[in-house]
Amino acid sequence: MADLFNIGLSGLKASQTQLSVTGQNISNINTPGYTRQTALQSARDPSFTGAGYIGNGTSIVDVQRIHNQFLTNQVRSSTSMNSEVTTFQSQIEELNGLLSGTATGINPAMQSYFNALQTAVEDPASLPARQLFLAEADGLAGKFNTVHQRLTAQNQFLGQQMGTVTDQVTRLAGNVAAYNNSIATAAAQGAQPNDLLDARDEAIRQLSQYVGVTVVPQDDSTVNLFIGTGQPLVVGNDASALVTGPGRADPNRVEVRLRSGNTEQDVTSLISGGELGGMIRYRGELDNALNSVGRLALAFASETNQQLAQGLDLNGKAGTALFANINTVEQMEQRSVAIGEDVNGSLKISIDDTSKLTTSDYEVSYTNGTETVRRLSDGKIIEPNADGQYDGFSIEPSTTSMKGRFLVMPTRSGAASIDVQMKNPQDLAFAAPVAVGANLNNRGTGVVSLELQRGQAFDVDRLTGGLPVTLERTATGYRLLDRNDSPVTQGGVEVTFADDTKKANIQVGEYNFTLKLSGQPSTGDRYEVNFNPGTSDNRNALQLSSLQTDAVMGKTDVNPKGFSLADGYGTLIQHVGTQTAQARAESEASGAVLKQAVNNRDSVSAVNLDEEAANLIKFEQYYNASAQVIQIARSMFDTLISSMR
Amino acid sequence: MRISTIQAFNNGVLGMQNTYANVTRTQEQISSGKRIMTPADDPVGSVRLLQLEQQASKLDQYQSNLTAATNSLSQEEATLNSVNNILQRVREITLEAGNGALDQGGRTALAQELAEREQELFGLMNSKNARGEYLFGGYNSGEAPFEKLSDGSYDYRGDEGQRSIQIASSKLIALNDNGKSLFVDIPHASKVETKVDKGQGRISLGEITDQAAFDTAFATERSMTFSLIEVGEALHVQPSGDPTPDSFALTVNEDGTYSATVSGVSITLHGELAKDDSFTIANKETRGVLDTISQLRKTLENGGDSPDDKRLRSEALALSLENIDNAMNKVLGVQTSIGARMNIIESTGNEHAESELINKTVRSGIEDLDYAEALSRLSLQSVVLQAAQQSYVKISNLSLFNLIR
Repeated sequence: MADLFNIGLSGLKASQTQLSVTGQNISNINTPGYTRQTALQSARDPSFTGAGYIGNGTSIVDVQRIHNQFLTNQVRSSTSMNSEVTTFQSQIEELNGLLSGTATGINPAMQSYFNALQTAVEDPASLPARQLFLAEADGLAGKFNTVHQRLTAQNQFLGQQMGTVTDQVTRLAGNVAAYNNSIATAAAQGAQPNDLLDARDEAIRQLSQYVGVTVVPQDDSTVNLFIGTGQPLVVGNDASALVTGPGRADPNRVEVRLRSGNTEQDVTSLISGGELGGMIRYRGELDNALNSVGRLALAFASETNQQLAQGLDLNGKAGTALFANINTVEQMEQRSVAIGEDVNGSLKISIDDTSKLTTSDYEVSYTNGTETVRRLSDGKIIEPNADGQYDGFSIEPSTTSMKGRFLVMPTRSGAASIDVQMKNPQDLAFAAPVAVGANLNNRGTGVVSLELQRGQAFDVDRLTGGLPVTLERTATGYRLLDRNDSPVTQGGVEVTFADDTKKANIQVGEYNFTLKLSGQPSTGDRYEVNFNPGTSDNRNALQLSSLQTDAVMGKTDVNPKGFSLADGYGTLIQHVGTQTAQARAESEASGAVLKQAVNNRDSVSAVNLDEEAANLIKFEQYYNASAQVIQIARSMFDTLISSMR
Repeated sequence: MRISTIQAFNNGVLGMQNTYANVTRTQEQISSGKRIMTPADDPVGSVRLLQLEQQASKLDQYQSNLTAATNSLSQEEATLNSVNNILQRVREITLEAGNGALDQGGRTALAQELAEREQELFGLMNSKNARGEYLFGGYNSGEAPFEKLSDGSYDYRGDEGQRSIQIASSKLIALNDNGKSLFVDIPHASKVETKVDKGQGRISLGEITDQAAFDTAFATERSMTFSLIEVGEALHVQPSGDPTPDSFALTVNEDGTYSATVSGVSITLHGELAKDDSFTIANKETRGVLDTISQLRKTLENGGDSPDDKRLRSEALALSLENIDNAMNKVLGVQTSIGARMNIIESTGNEHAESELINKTVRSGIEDLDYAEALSRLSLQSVVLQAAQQSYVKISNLSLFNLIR
């Protein structure tokens, strides 16, 4: 009878525990990372009697969590992947919008610039048309500046964000280390501390939102966490810290360091996964965009200035630059920074040929006085050409005893420094410096036209000093006469051209031009080349307007043709657009994977209220029944007592 | 499969979120009419769009250049029409002046009209456009291209510049014609000019009778001075500094004048000739139209009714007539060229209009929304969203706890 009491009591106790576990499950239905628990029950050891073994009731032997380590790992890794991709996507969407927007992009400004130029070409003497062109040039330069500012601001913002994220990583790493400690202590007592394990799993899941981690379980129920390629973030009870600071290679770029004890290690390039991985990956795109826009601005300024230098302005003076010089001392110095500490000297980077520039950065290193230049985009060591230029730029070391490594960014700040320096619309050199005229007494039908050569500046005084020159037809060909009608000599020899010359190359005052000869001139016919004071001449402006379609960028040894300014920008937009589209697709895919992983985990481990309701009913009935057993035992006892009265 | 409560809720909410995002996106497309909202929606398509937009903007610019070219050429054509009218009248006057019965008074009257016409033509040749630039100055449009010198002749101050603008990707069209090629570079019919340097004698206008001899003699030195060493005997060529002068025989004509053929040019000398009189014969390939008219005017103003005067005058009138015809031909040639340019402008304009249409069609094909498809998509998505919401409400109400009383 006492046995029956005990058996009933054990049932009562067991069902009470079961009810508590059910209650715990119900109340934690909304707790992140909570795993449903279940109480394991088993029958107590029976007692031996003459009739055989009789049971002794029941007992709760363990409370387990319903948990699958594989599914938890899957949730963690897909969380890390998903947050990397969505971070990258949200950043690049901004870039995508910035570059292609009609209000923010460079393309519309470039079109207005060339449209204004066309108006000026039609009417080169008109001051309002020139003024409009100047204003549009100003607008274009402003657009370049704005895009640069926006991109730099995005970079700064990225740096701040990285600071916040590393703080979170450090905090969570500390939490995991603390959980490790508690879990090791608790597990030593023989049972798994379910809720602590859940909390640690959740902390690691949150951590993987910020940065990709590798989890290595240890025998004492603790886990070690590693980031990147195996840099320890948490080992047992010890947590390292992630910190950010100005980059040693480039102070404008924040770098991420792992600090354990007193040592710090730069892990920026090693990190992958999580928000931090996404941001670091995006920064590469941002640099590429900055370099592309910078290269475009440099090419624009340089090509425009070169063309204008070949013309004459409204006052008959040699053309001056529309855009500010791209090779000021300040700019040349800003294009490189020293890497690390063991450095001697500094570099000046001057841009000599914008058509050969790439969008890559370069690393220049000096060992024993030998200069080595490595292009970072493909990692190739490049050699200078005959003029000492690497990919369109040249390097001027400050001393002969250079030492250390330097990061060279030829195009990085190009879009920031483009600026219209011309103030006076009269100064736009739209006219060509020389004009040719036929003598009125010519008997033949010969026609001489002028061909201007691109890419040469001239000195207006020296040119006018040498002009006019006259090309005269002789019986055997042509000869060149100076202003006093005496033959022009070069190195003591008269300058003559053969009878069948179709193009006569002439140099006056170091200025080269070509006379194209056609028709049938008679002996003694003369063609006079004069300085051109004409204000309605648009020949140089026409050359300038051909910059819209001429291939003036991206010329390499492999691809000598290059592409136009507009195409240069189009390539960037396409690249960013493709990256964005890819990021969208990736984000959708990784979102689906994450959803599936969470579903799988929840399917096994999360609480189902219907189930718990059924359990409540079940265990309530079980409790009632166990109480009934005690009731019966009591009534049996009562029956026995009353029979003794 | 076991479904936890939180899973049921999450899935329901996620499903609604996705459907809602789709509905919003379709709505955005419908309200903007565009299929591509940012380059990432279709990177290849949007770069194509970028190129097409550039092309459209260039076509726009070409169209406005065409308009500018039309305006400028129309003005030039109108001016040239007036020039032609004047030349026509001058030609009539020249013919009229050839009438032998005309006395000095009649000639003076004609000369007066010529003076007016000369002035009018001078004004036309210095025409300005609406922006105040001279039409016929070439590149040098800032100053008047024609100037009257103190000796009554005219000087061209412009250059041979011809301004072109772009009207298609590889097509340039000339906007103007310079005054030199239009009004100055006009073939001089006789190719020679004669004048008396010293003495009371007179010299005929000269005529090339031996082109080969003329070309050789005037190859380098384009003008030569002759002096008379003995009336009735010979004529010396006396180029400056030449110690051994060539001599040409003079023949005496029936009417008492002398003729000679000097270096291929046949001339007649008459009037009161004396020893050491000197004359210049110059090669002159071109003569400006204003100079032709002013010479003609002078011929009519001066000279009496003597046989000498009459002979010289009729020679001069014949030469002027030829020169005026040459000038008219020149103007006509340029007018033809302007007409041809106008044709090019028109055909290029049509080409551009067609390209623009194609450009628009292609652009619309890439970026514009197919409304029928989008609207049916929207209604499908709305139905899905509605179903998701209704089923969510239904399912979330299902709980065993509701039934435990």
